[in-house]
Amino acid sequence: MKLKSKGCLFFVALFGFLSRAEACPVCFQSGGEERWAFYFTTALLTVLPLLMVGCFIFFLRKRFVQLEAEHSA
Amino acid sequence: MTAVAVSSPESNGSETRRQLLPSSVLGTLMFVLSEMMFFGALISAFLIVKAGNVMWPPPDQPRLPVEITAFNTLFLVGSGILVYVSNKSLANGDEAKAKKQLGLGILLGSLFVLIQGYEWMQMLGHGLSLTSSTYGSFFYTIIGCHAIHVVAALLILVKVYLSFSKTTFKRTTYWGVQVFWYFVVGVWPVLYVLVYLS
Repeated sequence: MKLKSKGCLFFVALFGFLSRAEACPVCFQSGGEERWAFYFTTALLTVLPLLMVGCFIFFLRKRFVQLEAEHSA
Repeated sequence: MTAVAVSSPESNGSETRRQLLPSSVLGTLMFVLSEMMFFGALISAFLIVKAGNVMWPPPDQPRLPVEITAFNTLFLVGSGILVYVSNKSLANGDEAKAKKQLGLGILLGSLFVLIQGYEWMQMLGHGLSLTSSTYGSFFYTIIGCHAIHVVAALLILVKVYLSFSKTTFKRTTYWGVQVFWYFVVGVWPVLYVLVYLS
Protein backbone atom coordinates (compact mmCIF):
# COMPACT_ATOMS: atom_id res chain seq x y z
CA MET A 1 0.00 0.00 0.00
CA LYS A 2 1.35 3.37 -0.97
CA LEU A 3 1.99 6.09 1.55
CA LYS A 4 -0.84 8.26 0.14
CA SER A 5 -3.36 5.45 0.51
CA LYS A 6 -2.16 4.78 4.04
CA GLY A 7 -2.64 8.45 4.85
CA CYS A 8 -6.21 8.42 3.45
CA LEU A 9 -7.01 5.29 5.45
CA PHE A 10 -5.64 6.94 8.59
CA PHE A 11 -7.89 10.00 8.18
CA VAL A 12 -10.93 7.85 7.41
CA ALA A 13 -10.24 5.87 10.57
CA LEU A 14 -9.62 9.05 12.54
CA PHE A 15 -12.80 10.87 11.57
CA GLY A 16 -15.04 7.94 10.66
CA PHE A 17 -14.67 6.14 13.96
CA LEU A 18 -14.25 9.16 16.14
CA SER A 19 -15.90 9.01 19.53
CA ARG A 20 -15.52 10.98 22.68
CA ALA A 21 -12.74 9.73 24.92
CA GLU A 22 -14.10 9.53 28.43
CA ALA A 23 -10.89 8.80 30.23
CA CYS A 24 -11.06 11.66 32.66
CA PRO A 25 -13.97 11.63 35.13
CA VAL A 26 -13.48 15.34 35.84
CA CYS A 27 -14.38 16.33 32.27
CA PHE A 28 -17.63 14.41 31.91
CA GLN A 29 -18.98 13.42 35.29
CA SER A 30 -18.69 16.57 37.32
CA GLY A 31 -20.31 19.88 38.02
CA GLY A 32 -19.20 23.22 36.67
CA GLU A 33 -16.92 24.18 39.54
CA GLU A 34 -14.87 21.00 39.37
CA ARG A 35 -14.53 21.32 35.63
CA TRP A 36 -13.34 24.90 35.94
CA ALA A 37 -10.82 23.81 38.57
CA PHE A 38 -9.60 21.21 36.09
CA TYR A 39 -9.26 23.82 33.32
CA PHE A 40 -7.52 26.24 35.65
CA THR A 41 -5.00 23.70 36.93
CA THR A 42 -4.34 22.42 33.40
CA ALA A 43 -3.61 25.98 32.30
CA LEU A 44 -1.48 26.55 35.41
CA LEU A 45 0.65 23.45 34.87
CA THR A 46 1.02 24.28 31.17
CA VAL A 47 1.96 27.91 31.60
CA LEU A 48 4.11 27.58 34.75
CA PRO A 49 7.10 25.73 33.19
CA LEU A 50 7.02 27.96 30.09
CA LEU A 51 6.94 31.04 32.28
CA MET A 52 9.78 29.78 34.48
CA VAL A 53 12.02 28.81 31.57
CA GLY A 54 11.19 32.13 29.85
CA CYS A 55 12.11 34.11 32.95
CA PHE A 56 15.28 32.07 33.34
CA ILE A 57 16.38 32.75 29.76
CA PHE A 58 15.49 36.44 30.14
CA PHE A 59 17.57 36.61 33.33
CA LEU A 60 20.55 34.89 31.68
CA ARG A 61 20.37 37.24 28.71
CA LYS A 62 20.21 40.26 30.99
CA ARG A 63 23.21 38.98 32.92
CA PHE A 64 25.11 38.34 29.69
CA VAL A 65 24.46 41.88 28.46
CA GLN A 66 25.54 43.22 31.86
CA LEU A 67 28.80 41.25 31.74
CA GLU A 68 29.45 42.35 28.18
CA ALA A 69 28.94 45.99 29.19
CA GLU A 70 31.32 45.57 32.13
CA HIS A 71 33.88 43.93 29.87
CA SER A 72 33.79 46.64 27.22
CA ALA A 73 33.88 49.48 29.79
CA MET B 1 27.41 28.38 33.26
CA THR B 2 29.98 30.12 31.14
CA ALA B 3 29.80 32.76 28.50
CA VAL B 4 32.38 33.29 25.83
CA ALA B 5 33.53 36.84 26.16
CA VAL B 6 34.61 39.05 23.30
CA SER B 7 38.31 38.68 22.60
CA SER B 8 40.29 41.55 23.98
CA PRO B 9 43.73 42.80 22.94
CA GLU B 10 45.03 41.77 26.39
CA SER B 11 44.05 38.18 25.78
CA ASN B 12 46.05 38.06 22.52
CA GLY B 13 43.07 36.88 20.54
CA SER B 14 42.40 33.88 22.76
CA GLU B 15 38.88 33.45 24.13
CA THR B 16 38.32 34.12 27.77
CA ARG B 17 35.42 32.52 29.59
CA ARG B 18 33.52 34.14 32.39
CA GLN B 19 30.69 32.74 34.43
CA LEU B 20 27.20 34.09 33.85
CA LEU B 21 26.08 32.50 37.08
CA PRO B 22 27.99 30.62 39.78
CA SER B 23 27.44 26.87 39.53
CA SER B 24 25.86 26.77 42.99
CA VAL B 25 23.23 29.34 41.97
CA LEU B 26 22.56 27.66 38.63
CA GLY B 27 22.18 24.23 40.24
CA THR B 28 19.88 25.57 42.94
CA LEU B 29 17.80 27.45 40.36
CA MET B 30 17.30 24.24 38.38
CA PHE B 31 16.28 22.46 41.58
CA VAL B 32 13.91 25.28 42.54
CA LEU B 33 12.23 25.19 39.10
CA SER B 34 11.53 21.48 39.50
CA GLU B 35 10.29 22.07 43.04
CA MET B 36 7.89 24.72 41.76
CA MET B 37 6.39 22.14 39.43
CA PHE B 38 6.14 19.72 42.34
CA PHE B 39 4.21 22.22 44.45
CA GLY B 40 2.19 23.21 41.37
CA ALA B 41 1.09 19.59 40.98
CA LEU B 42 0.15 19.34 44.67
CA ILE B 43 -1.84 22.58 44.48
CA SER B 44 -3.60 21.39 41.31
CA ALA B 45 -4.67 18.12 42.93
CA PHE B 46 -5.83 20.03 46.01
CA LEU B 47 -7.90 22.52 43.97
CA ILE B 48 -9.65 19.79 41.97
CA VAL B 49 -10.52 17.73 45.06
CA LYS B 50 -11.66 20.85 46.89
CA ALA B 51 -13.91 21.86 43.97
CA GLY B 52 -15.45 18.38 43.98
CA ASN B 53 -16.62 18.75 47.59
CA VAL B 54 -19.80 20.63 48.39
CA MET B 55 -18.50 21.69 51.80
CA TRP B 56 -14.85 22.62 52.25
CA PRO B 57 -13.44 22.13 54.83
CA PRO B 58 -15.62 19.07 55.51
CA PRO B 59 -18.06 19.79 58.37
CA ASP B 60 -16.82 16.94 60.58
CA GLN B 61 -13.17 18.00 60.41
CA PRO B 62 -11.42 20.48 62.74
CA ARG B 63 -10.66 23.97 61.46
CA LEU B 64 -7.08 25.03 60.80
CA PRO B 65 -5.51 27.68 63.06
CA VAL B 66 -5.66 30.63 60.66
CA GLU B 67 -4.63 33.43 63.04
CA ILE B 68 -1.57 31.84 64.62
CA THR B 69 -0.36 30.72 61.19
CA ALA B 70 -0.76 34.25 59.84
CA PHE B 71 1.44 35.41 62.73
CA ASN B 72 3.85 32.57 61.99
CA THR B 73 4.02 33.66 58.34
CA LEU B 74 5.49 36.95 59.54
CA PHE B 75 8.38 35.01 61.13
CA LEU B 76 9.17 33.26 57.87
CA VAL B 77 8.90 36.40 55.76
CA GLY B 78 11.02 38.26 58.32
CA SER B 79 13.60 35.51 58.08
CA GLY B 80 13.73 35.90 54.29
CA ILE B 81 14.23 39.65 54.64
CA LEU B 82 17.01 39.14 57.18
CA VAL B 83 18.86 36.72 54.88
CA TYR B 84 18.56 39.27 52.06
CA VAL B 85 19.87 42.06 54.28
CA SER B 86 22.67 39.79 55.45
CA ASN B 87 23.81 39.34 51.85
CA LYS B 88 23.77 43.11 51.39
CA SER B 89 25.92 43.56 54.50
CA LEU B 90 28.33 40.94 53.20
CA ALA B 91 28.56 42.77 49.88
CA ASN B 92 29.42 45.95 51.81
CA GLY B 93 32.22 44.09 53.58
CA ASP B 94 30.60 44.03 57.01
CA GLU B 95 31.01 40.33 57.73
CA ALA B 96 30.20 40.51 61.45
CA LYS B 97 26.90 42.27 60.79
CA ALA B 98 26.06 39.82 58.01
CA LYS B 99 26.68 36.88 60.34
CA LYS B 100 24.47 38.43 63.02
CA GLN B 101 21.64 39.04 60.55
CA LEU B 102 21.91 35.52 59.16
CA GLY B 103 21.80 34.16 62.71
CA LEU B 104 18.61 36.12 63.40
CA GLY B 105 17.15 34.87 60.12
CA ILE B 106 17.89 31.27 61.12
CA LEU B 107 16.31 31.91 64.53
CA LEU B 108 13.09 33.24 62.96
CA GLY B 109 13.01 30.31 60.51
CA SER B 110 13.44 27.87 63.40
CA LEU B 111 10.61 29.60 65.29
CA PHE B 112 8.40 29.10 62.26
CA VAL B 113 9.14 25.36 62.22
CA LEU B 114 8.59 25.05 65.98
CA ILE B 115 5.22 26.83 65.86
CA GLN B 116 4.23 24.66 62.88
CA GLY B 117 5.16 21.56 64.90
CA TYR B 118 3.07 22.81 67.82
CA GLU B 119 0.14 23.41 65.45
CA TRP B 120 0.45 19.90 64.08
CA MET B 121 0.33 18.44 67.58
CA GLN B 122 -2.84 20.44 68.23
CA MET B 123 -4.43 19.31 64.97
CA LEU B 124 -3.58 15.66 65.64
CA GLY B 125 -5.13 16.08 69.10
CA HIS B 126 -8.32 17.34 67.47
CA GLY B 127 -8.48 14.28 65.22
CA LEU B 128 -7.08 15.66 61.96
CA SER B 129 -4.62 13.09 60.69
CA LEU B 130 -3.19 11.95 57.39
CA THR B 131 -5.83 9.20 57.17
CA SER B 132 -8.82 11.00 58.73
CA SER B 133 -10.01 12.53 55.43
CA THR B 134 -8.81 13.92 52.11
CA TYR B 135 -8.74 17.28 53.91
CA GLY B 136 -6.21 15.92 56.42
CA SER B 137 -4.25 14.13 53.70
CA PHE B 138 -3.83 17.30 51.66
CA PHE B 139 -3.05 19.42 54.70
CA TYR B 140 -0.26 17.16 55.94
CA THR B 141 1.09 16.41 52.46
CA ILE B 142 1.29 20.00 51.21
CA ILE B 143 2.24 21.69 54.47
CA GLY B 144 4.47 18.75 55.44
CA CYS B 145 6.40 18.93 52.16
CA HIS B 146 6.93 22.62 52.73
CA ALA B 147 8.07 21.99 56.30
CA ILE B 148 10.64 19.44 55.07
CA HIS B 149 11.97 22.06 52.66
CA VAL B 150 12.19 24.64 55.44
CA VAL B 151 14.09 22.24 57.72
CA ALA B 152 16.50 21.26 54.90
CA ALA B 153 17.11 24.90 54.00
CA LEU B 154 17.65 25.80 57.65
CA LEU B 155 20.25 23.04 58.05
CA ILE B 156 22.18 24.37 55.05
CA LEU B 157 21.86 27.94 56.36
CA VAL B 158 23.28 26.77 59.72
CA LYS B 159 26.19 25.15 57.87
CA VAL B 160 26.85 28.42 56.03
CA TYR B 161 26.54 30.34 59.32
CA LEU B 162 29.12 28.11 60.97
CA SER B 163 31.51 28.52 58.05
CA PHE B 164 31.41 32.35 58.30
CA SER B 165 34.86 33.87 58.95
CA LYS B 166 36.48 30.58 58.00
CA THR B 167 38.50 29.75 54.92
CA THR B 168 35.84 27.22 53.87
CA PHE B 169 33.24 29.98 53.45
CA LYS B 170 32.28 30.69 49.85
CA ARG B 171 29.99 33.55 48.92
CA THR B 172 28.74 31.64 45.90
CA THR B 173 27.56 28.82 48.17
CA TYR B 174 25.72 31.38 50.27
CA TRP B 175 24.04 32.76 47.14
CA GLY B 176 22.88 29.27 46.18
CA VAL B 177 21.41 28.68 49.65
CA GLN B 178 19.71 32.06 49.48
CA VAL B 179 17.96 31.13 46.23
CA PHE B 180 16.55 28.06 47.96
CA TRP B 181 15.54 30.02 51.05
CA TYR B 182 13.75 32.70 48.99
CA PHE B 183 11.82 29.92 47.24
CA VAL B 184 10.82 28.38 50.57
CA VAL B 185 9.74 31.79 51.91
CA GLY B 186 8.02 32.82 48.66
CA VAL B 187 5.93 29.68 48.22
CA TRP B 188 4.58 29.79 51.77
CA PRO B 189 2.08 32.71 51.39
CA VAL B 190 0.61 30.93 48.34
CA LEU B 191 0.17 27.72 50.34
CA TYR B 192 -1.23 29.63 53.30
CA VAL B 193 -3.89 31.36 51.20
CA LEU B 194 -4.86 28.15 49.37
CA VAL B 195 -4.83 25.69 52.26
CA TYR B 196 -5.70 27.81 55.30
CA LEU B 197 -7.91 30.57 53.90
CA SER B 198 -9.88 28.72 51.22
